[in-house]
Amino acid sequence: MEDNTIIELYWQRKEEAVTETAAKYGKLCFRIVGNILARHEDCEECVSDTYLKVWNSIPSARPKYFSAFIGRIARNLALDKFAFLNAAKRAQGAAVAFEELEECVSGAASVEDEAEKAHLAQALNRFLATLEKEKRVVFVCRYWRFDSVENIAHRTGYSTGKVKSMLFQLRKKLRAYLESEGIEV
Amino acid sequence: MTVKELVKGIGDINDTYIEEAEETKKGGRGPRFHWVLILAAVLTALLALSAVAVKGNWFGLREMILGPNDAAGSTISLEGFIGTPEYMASQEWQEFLASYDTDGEILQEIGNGIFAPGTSYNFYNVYSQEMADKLDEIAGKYQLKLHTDLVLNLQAEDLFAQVGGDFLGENRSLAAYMYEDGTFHFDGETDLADYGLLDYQFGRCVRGSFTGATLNIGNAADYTQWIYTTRDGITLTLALSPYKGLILADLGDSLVSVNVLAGTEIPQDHVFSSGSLTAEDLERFSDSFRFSVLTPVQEVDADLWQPVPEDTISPEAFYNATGIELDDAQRFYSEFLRDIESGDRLAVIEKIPYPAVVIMPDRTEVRVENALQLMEYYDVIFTDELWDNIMITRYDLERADLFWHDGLVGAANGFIWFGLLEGEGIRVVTVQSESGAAVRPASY
Repeated sequence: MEDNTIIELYWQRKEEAVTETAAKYGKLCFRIVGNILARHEDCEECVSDTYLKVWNSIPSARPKYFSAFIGRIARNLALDKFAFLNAAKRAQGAAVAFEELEECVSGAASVEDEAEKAHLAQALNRFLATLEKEKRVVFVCRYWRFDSVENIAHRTGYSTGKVKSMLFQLRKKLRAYLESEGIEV
Repeated sequence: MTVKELVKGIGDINDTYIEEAEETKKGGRGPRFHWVLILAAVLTALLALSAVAVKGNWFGLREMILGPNDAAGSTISLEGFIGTPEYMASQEWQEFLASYDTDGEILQEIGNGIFAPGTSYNFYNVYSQEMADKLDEIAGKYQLKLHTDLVLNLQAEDLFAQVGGDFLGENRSLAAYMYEDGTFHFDGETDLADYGLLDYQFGRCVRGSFTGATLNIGNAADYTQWIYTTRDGITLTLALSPYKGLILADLGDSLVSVNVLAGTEIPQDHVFSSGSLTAEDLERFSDSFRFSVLTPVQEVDADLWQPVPEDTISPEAFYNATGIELDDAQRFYSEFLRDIESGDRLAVIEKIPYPAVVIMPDRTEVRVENALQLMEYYDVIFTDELWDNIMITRYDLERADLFWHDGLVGAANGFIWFGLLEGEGIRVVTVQSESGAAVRPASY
């Protein structure tokens, strides 16, 4: 079913909307939360919560990119849960990605209000805009979706070594870019 | 900043990037832009390939140098050796550019406006009639054609189809662009055996056209150069300096150049390479291409220049949602962009209904009663970032990526909204920049 049709079902408050969402995007949601959470039951709970949140969000939202919209909700819910779980219940992939991103930051809290969050998001968008599409895709796969390096290599056709190398360079570029934007890393 | 803050921030990136990553899995391709006017950026990439590479003095780099080899470094022509029409045109054009508008006053006056949109001049960073006249004069004098069309973001398979086959082997190309005569350029990278990651910039300039492609190589005396014949029998000039390598192939009907972003004294943690590059590495890298595929130059498939179909929008659904015919919306929006391009500020802001409210980046609001009052805030709202968003969502001069929400038409990634207002026709209801500055009707 087309995204617009599914969204229309939400607007009409038809429960079929959730069934259709699960049929079309269930796999995507499981992949995203599965990259963050280790246990299947946590993933199932998170995906169910995702559907509920989408149901509560539409209306009034009418997302242009439904897959990104639902994916973002799933990611945020999984990250919230990730924060409360012990290491054994966290997916190794996400934990490693977090460690990688430590290279880009000092570790001191600095993003304290909504304006700073918005500033950071805008800077990240501008940083991504400076990248070649191939590099941007690798970055998003790794740090937005927490895909494993192997999965990214499979998806893009690059060798795992190449993906690691690209990620290393991207992290260096990201830190330099954020600093150049006046963001306290 | 903490990792958690950064991860949350990454979570808020634009939907289009998430969608783009998802599309990759499906084998999705990037958008093709036809006649878009972000050519300044493209040309800058081509013209400003950065510094650096000759001990030796035969037909090589020295015969490509335009102007003096001084402290500022040497600039070489990537179109031809000394004595060729392409070289002489390039030299004359560079001399003109060096002496024209040296204080930037003319450019300043023009601002973001595009000179003669949709013409060949846009491929040469021309921004005044005087520059246009000089370019025409040089092209005429050396009987060279000016480029007329350009396609951006060509994927490797499309590039191969246009040049006669796969010349890259295991090397990769990133987002190539190609002119109508087969002149092309792309950034690329490779995993060179026994070396590692290596980034490069590959260009082919077809003879008979003027491209204006140059490269600053730094001090030519820093380079060692030699002749090398590849396994497919093409004779190359190779040059290597402490910071850069160059591969040059005169194929008769074109000149091919590869700007290798590594040299003999590059540190291990270099962003574009895996460290120090030897002459043997450069020769092996040269052998990884099949330069023979690139000659003779093939005629470019005319289909490549056909307008790209816009996103599938149902005109009926568009009309039902907005009350505006899709064609009328495209026409209104393209006129709005033309006004911005031409620098007709009054025409731009007269499309906004008044009174209006200007929201400043610090969230303070200013009420403006008419267009003249808004003029004071024009530069706060109509920024380069807004223009970037306009450009990346534009198919050509007449059509752009439009969508709708709540009865309004969205454009430029949602930074511009317009709609049908009762008694006023189609009006721009919101323009905002990435800084948060915006203008909207006071009644909203």
